[in-house]
Amino acid sequence: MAFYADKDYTVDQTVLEAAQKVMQGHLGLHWYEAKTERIKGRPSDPRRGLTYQDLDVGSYGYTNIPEDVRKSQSMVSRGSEKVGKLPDMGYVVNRKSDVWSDNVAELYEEDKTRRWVPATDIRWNELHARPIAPELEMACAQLYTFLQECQMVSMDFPSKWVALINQDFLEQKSWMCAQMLDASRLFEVFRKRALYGGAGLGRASVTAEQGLKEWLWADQFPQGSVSINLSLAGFLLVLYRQVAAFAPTKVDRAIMRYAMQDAGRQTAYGLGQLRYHLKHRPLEVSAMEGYLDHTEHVLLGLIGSPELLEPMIIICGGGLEKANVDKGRIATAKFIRLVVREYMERIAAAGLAGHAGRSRIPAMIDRISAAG
Amino acid sequence: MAISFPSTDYFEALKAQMAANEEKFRRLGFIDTTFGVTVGVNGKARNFILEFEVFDLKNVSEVPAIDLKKVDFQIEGDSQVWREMIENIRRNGEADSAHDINTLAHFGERLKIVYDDPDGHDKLYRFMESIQEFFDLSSKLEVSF
Repeated sequence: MAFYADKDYTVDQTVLEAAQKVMQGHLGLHWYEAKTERIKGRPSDPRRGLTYQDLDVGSYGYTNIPEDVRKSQSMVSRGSEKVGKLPDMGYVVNRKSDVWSDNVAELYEEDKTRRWVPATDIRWNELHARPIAPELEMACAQLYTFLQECQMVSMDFPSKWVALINQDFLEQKSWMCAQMLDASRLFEVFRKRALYGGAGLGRASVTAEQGLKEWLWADQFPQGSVSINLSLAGFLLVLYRQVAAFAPTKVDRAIMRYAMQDAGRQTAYGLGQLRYHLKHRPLEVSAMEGYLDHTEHVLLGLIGSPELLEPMIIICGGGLEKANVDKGRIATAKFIRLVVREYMERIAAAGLAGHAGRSRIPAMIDRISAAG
Repeated sequence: MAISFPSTDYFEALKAQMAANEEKFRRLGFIDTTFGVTVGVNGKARNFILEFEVFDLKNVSEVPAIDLKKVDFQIEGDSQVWREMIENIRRNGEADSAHDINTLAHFGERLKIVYDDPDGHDKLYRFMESIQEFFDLSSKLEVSF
């Protein structure tokens, strides 16, 4: 046991007697006197229903969370009265600028309304009604194998951090739970698609996995968030758009269109978090630049992975004949340049305007995509 | 009676269809974005601003020019490309792979997505299903060019 409550309640006579007294009808009603604000939460737009934005009021709201949360270390819900010996949860992320993004409540509400269900929203039977060439099916199986590796990390990142973040950031923590569900849903749909097609799963990617582990184990949340929510999600967003544009079946196009919605929310948070972090902590600019200098090579581990590039070329070219491969190489070279362009755009928009000029990535990408 | 494209009447007709298909758009979820549509006609541009809120298209307007700071993104393309997309939707009931917004705009070679802030650009993808379903409602309209 890492923690024991301050009493064993089975032998605590006070608790037993108090419960018996209440059950005999002697209500104490001390909680009636909780010194908390009395508000009535109401939806600002009835069509949208009651949202967290509507509850951004007074002590219950998120706007007034201070930069350093010093007085809340238990699991108490923000705005409640704190009495007695509440446990210290040992949160290690207690600065708003380390986790917050101004769009976090919006993303959480949006996420729930835009949910989808792989089992029933995808018309799986179209895959056997209109089968594709074996080499395309093999390429799809390999691509979806690669995507599962990426989603496993997308799921692990918020899972790894959520219990370490102060409970006062409840909207942000709720958003992280929604992110876990998004990642698990994408993992599910990619696995189902691969296994429905009959080609089984493909081969794991060493370069991608080595790199993804480096990103996942970033020491600080803001750094890890940039890697997973901005760099990885931005890469995946372009990848989903690419596969949707060249999809061999309507099923693959449908999967990718749903996937891009989930990835779009993740990049919106990744950009918003980095922007908020640098705006409120301008002295962190050089530290973040240094972190990116050290770790953005992982983008090359993903882009340069043969377990990704080869199936992409086959899917985008429509087959394995020379003409198909030539067509696929051209489309894949454009994909690579688009990934890097949008990555640099987001980094600059977040506050690291000069980063593209110092990064090693564009020159490396030119060498890879020139071959296309 | 056929509705002319491009025109505010065309987008107003899609707005009415969106309201008539409310259940489908509720199922797709919130759509909160304002974006521009630019249609190049004989070297000139006609510009429209579409404001989506909750589940609906709230407002449509035609403007002389689009300020990218006031929209999330802008989809621009020649009238020929828009016409091809709408005719494809009319034929198939929905855009096929080669004619949906994502494919037409992916490399910026047929339609182009322009934006001031990548956060606005991401909204195209956050709401892609709703935006595509919105344009797919053209299948229910008689459109003239």
